[in-house]
Amino acid sequence: MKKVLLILLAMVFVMPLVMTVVLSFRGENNTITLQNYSDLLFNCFIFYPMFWNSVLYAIVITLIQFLVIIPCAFGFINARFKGKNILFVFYIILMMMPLQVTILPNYIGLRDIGLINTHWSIILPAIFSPFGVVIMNQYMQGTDNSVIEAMRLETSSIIRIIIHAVIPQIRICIFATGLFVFADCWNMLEQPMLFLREDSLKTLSVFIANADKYAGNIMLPAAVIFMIPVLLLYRFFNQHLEKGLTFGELS
Amino acid sequence: MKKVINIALTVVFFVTMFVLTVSARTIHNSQIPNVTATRLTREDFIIEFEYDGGTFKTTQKRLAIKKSIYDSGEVYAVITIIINGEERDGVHRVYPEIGAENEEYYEIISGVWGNELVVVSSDRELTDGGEVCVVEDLL
Repeated sequence: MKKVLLILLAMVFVMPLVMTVVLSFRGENNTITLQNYSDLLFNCFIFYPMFWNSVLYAIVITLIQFLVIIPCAFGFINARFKGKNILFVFYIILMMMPLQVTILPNYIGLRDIGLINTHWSIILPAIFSPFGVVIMNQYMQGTDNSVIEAMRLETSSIIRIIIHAVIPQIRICIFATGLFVFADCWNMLEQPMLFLREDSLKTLSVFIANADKYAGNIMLPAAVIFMIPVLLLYRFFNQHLEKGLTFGELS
Repeated sequence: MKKVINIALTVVFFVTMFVLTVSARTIHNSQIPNVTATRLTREDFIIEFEYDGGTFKTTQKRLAIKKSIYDSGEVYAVITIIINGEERDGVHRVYPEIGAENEEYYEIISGVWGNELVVVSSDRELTDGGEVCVVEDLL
């Protein structure tokens, strides 16, 4: 009974994806055709810059975020300073805050420094996401401190300690967080819609959201292609996903 | 093995997307009519005026269309059409009314505007409202 219920629940989640894929091949009079894909790939050229923008934003933001979140989480674990706990609570509040709350101050800040309608208007605010810091912080609490202490005897460089003693221990968490950050950036919609004016700078999620601007039959193929990079990434890192997000436990 | 398959799938996907990015427009343009177009010019025509008790002939510059274009039977003007949010070239069939003629041109009385591009030749049959690729603008 429990199994049947679970299968039914799984179907609720899987059905929209299956329908998207199936309907993307549906032609006129319910025939199976590749015409929709042909129309998208050979008759909608704005699709390509938007696709590569999504790739660029997701990769750059994910990579740069790690440069910020690993030292930041390491600092929360090892540094001793006044107000550390309050600052961490502030991070958690920031993480739980809806995007719509912070998007306007972000817009004003970006406008004042002249970054609106540039790639940086998407990349810069996303780099300092608190999500990765909180996840990484929880995971780092379970790291072997003796390795870090031993490394301290060899060097006083924090960067070397992080590279040689911390990163090898949190590798799984990096993969899992990376997957989430990548997916989050890949799906972002409000920021490119608000911060960018030119279509050639926008992302694939905006392309799909602006369905009324394009021919109706190309939307489902676009949605299918939109899913592929995240699915590919998931195939790479799925075995790390569960372990990487198990707070405070080391594999 | 699973890792190799994953890498292969990723490489195939992104290489395909890259190749399509580079070649999609060329492939698309090879499947639509490629046309040569020219802007209408003003040519000299002998115009006959009637006045009380006689006629008066004078040479005047008038909007003109090449005889070869008009005599082909169908005259198409190049227009801008929007396909998938992008401005592209298309053709619209026009019906010019002609008046005087000289060796090479007919005078246009109505049906076409002076600043319009008209199709001189096409490698495929044109359809009204269809998309074309203007490969050469003779003016």
